[in-house]
Amino acid sequence: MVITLTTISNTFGAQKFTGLVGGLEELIELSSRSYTQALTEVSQKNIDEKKLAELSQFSLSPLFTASLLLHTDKKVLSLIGKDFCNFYSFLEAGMLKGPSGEITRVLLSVPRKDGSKALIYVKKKHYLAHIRKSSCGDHKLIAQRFTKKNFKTTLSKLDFSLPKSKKQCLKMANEWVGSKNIAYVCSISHWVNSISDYEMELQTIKSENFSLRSDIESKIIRANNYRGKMNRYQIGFFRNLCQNIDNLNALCNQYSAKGFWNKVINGESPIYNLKYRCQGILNKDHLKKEDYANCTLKMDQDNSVCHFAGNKRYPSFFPRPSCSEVSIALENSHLYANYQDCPGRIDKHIISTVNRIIKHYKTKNFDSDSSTCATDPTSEYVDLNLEFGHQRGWDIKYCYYDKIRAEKLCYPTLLGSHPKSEYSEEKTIHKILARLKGITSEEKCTLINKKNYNPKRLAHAHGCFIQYDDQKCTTTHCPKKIMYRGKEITGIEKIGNSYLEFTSHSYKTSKFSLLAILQEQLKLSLKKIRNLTQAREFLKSTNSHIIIGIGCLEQIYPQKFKIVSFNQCNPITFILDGMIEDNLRAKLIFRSAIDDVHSPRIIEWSYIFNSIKSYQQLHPKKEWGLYGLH
Amino acid sequence: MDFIKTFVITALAIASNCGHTKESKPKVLSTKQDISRIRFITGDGKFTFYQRKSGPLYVSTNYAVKKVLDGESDSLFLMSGSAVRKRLIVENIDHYYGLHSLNEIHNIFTTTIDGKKVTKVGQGLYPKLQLSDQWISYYLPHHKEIKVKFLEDLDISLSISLNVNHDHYFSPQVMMLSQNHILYTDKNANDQTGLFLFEKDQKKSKLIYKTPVAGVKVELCETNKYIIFGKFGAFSTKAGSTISVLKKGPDISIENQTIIYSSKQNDIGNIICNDQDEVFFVKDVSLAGDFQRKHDAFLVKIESKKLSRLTNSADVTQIFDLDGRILAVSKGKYLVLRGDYKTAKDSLNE
Repeated sequence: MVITLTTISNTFGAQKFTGLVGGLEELIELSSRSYTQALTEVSQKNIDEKKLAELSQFSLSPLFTASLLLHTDKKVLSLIGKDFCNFYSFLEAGMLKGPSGEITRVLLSVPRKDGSKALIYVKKKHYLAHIRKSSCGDHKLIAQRFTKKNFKTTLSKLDFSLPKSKKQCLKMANEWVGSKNIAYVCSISHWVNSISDYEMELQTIKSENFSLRSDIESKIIRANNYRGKMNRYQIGFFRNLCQNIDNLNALCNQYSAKGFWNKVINGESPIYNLKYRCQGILNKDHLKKEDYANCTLKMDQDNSVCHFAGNKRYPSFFPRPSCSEVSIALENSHLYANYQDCPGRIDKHIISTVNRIIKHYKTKNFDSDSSTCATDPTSEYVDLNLEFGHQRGWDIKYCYYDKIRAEKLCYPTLLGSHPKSEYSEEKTIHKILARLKGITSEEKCTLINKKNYNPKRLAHAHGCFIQYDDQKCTTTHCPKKIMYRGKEITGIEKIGNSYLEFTSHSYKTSKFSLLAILQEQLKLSLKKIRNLTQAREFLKSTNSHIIIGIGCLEQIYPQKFKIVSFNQCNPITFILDGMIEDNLRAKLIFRSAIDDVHSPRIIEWSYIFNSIKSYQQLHPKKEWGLYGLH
Repeated sequence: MDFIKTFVITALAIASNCGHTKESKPKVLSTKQDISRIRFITGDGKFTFYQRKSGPLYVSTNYAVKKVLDGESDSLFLMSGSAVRKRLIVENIDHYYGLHSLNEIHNIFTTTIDGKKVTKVGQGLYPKLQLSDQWISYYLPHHKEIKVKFLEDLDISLSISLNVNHDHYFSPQVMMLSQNHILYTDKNANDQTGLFLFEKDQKKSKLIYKTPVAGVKVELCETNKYIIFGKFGAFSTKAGSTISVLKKGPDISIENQTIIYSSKQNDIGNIICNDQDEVFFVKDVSLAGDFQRKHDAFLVKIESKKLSRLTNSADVTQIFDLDGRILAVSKGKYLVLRGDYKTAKDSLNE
């Protein structure tokens, strides 16, 4: 028997049916109306368990079933589709929904002698008590295992072992889905994970609506009771299982993620893929092997821990992707990244992309900390531009008036501290103070957070200090106060800005675009990537190939960056360094200049294409913005 | 029981599309000239603002072309307006192609709808016309400060300091309810967004609402009767989405909200509303369990709460209001969701 929407529609006596999607809303309205009407009509035809047993024949009313199908979560429906005994379990657990919410009464169809059918209703508990005697015999036993009283004992008997491979995961997941326990497991998981929803709902209900408030409060009590008997790992295990019950492949991708973290710990993949993430998650600088195991356990228990962990110390665009998304992305990625950057502190975000390209092709390492995570990328960027002779690429300078030479003198400056850069702010200020105040080469100028500067301390009162406010600083905007021997130094000003075009906007300046500089300075060749096929071929040809691009930020992160103007586009550079193909839809491993380098995202080609296309349309030379580097 | 099983299978197939109607296919915006140079087109098509390749911003009508503002060849102008149509905002981004910064402030001007009178207002980001276009608000990201100015006398202004310090790409929502009351959003260290009411007379802010979990985006827009309040969860968090209606006035309260749309999915949002009882937004239409993202433009009616799907291309992530025309961006093209798709009076005479 094939049931179509028209068949369902006929169940409610609908005369018109306007297309698949268009008819659904109509259908839901009809369902609600017909169902409520039927319940009113049979309100006097209530029977109990005893009378139900006396009936020789009855079935669920099609009206009841159809209404339930239109209002119940499709994951619940998928489990009923696998084993119909789950229907009774979910009914008992309150997971089956009608137009007014949880089903409490069951509408039955009883044949009359003349062949027509009469509607009656029976309370849920009477219906289930009767059913337990005739079908799904072990249902009662299973239900008892998951009562509040027995739940803890039941939990101790369940197998929560973690699969070691995707294949093993699929096998175990199928066993869970096929077990008699699954309806109860997913009902409890739903309650426990809905606590914040219940609490939010409670906030919106007025205090005089006592009955509704009391209903929700009892749901919260029930959920907390179950939550109290489970540990975080068990809660996460049930949540992962039940949220992916209709897509076990997606569930097991997470366990292949677990496999990737193990690869990192076992040395099959570089440790930098975990080091900085785990520092953030554990809030600890020096990590031992057991710390890594603890860290991966935390990620397994709470997939969302990666959204925010580490962002305070190494700020970037966030929320970052979930732990499972990051691990799958990293497993398919090959950008060399033995360092940590912090794009949130870098105003000119192209600097992050440039640094990532340099570090990748020169396989450079940098032992980053929070004071150098912005200045090190900036130093790479400054050197690249100034060595090429592109002064506009970094035209930020400290200037002073030199009385002896009777002219204003300026020095290119990297704002912040960097141990190796000749443009470091500390060195530039020292150079100027040597001219202005005769500071000796033994004396050093030191950047200091204004919170830590204390003029009463001897060292502070006699040395050279450049004060800043860490809450207001990026690599191009950071107001400073220079103190030398306890006095503020004036007459030194910061001027200039930094501009680097990805592809030049005019033919006159084409020599100084990023693409031109990369070719010349890093001796890289460019291959224009116009479509997905070319991207696939390029990325898969060797393990060192990466693609760089530029597109509109609003198309990549539409949730955060909203368009309010015609042709609005915030250009953002990005790197693609891998690809995943799933069900014929290709997704790329993507790091924009504002993303954390260790938190790549998995983004569909269509979004990347739209982003590049929008930028191209705005570009004066209509330059395409996606190139393979090799 | 076979009947039920078959029903289950059918329901599973249709469940992902459930609960909304579909409007006719939107048309692509049609312009006579290079669309990339257009910065603003009035709803009636009388005035088209465009930027010449050489840099300056011009306005064209059927019979004349006039320069509005000078600009360099590597600068970009952006424009926006409001339903009141007394003024337009013009932003000028210098060295646009080489700038690569989300926090570098733009020059902000206002102009009349015909582009004849231009006034420099200040420098900042996210400018928005307020209170019948008599006020303007904008944001200073390095100072973490909202600036509000009276456009009839720019010396009259006020500033609101924000607490956000870890989200370097935050853009606050600002809505003036009166000269004395300003609604705005801020973020705490746990990434929870707060909706505050600033009272100018008291020089104090009062917390109206705080998102219960991190990463939830709060959006505001207003109609002549209501404030529309959207909350949209992010990525894999389970905050879901809600659009609700609040009554206008300084005694604004979240307790009296009426929810007109809610979903367990984390929609993009980007809400737009108008005085025709309509709230447009971008909804997540992806299937569960995968990383793929699919989004389309939807409309929810304020009074009836009826939900309609406006696009069906699965890649619409942005919608915006261009002087009453509601546009969606898809595959580099502008789809017209409301208003005339032809801009007949936009001829350029460059």
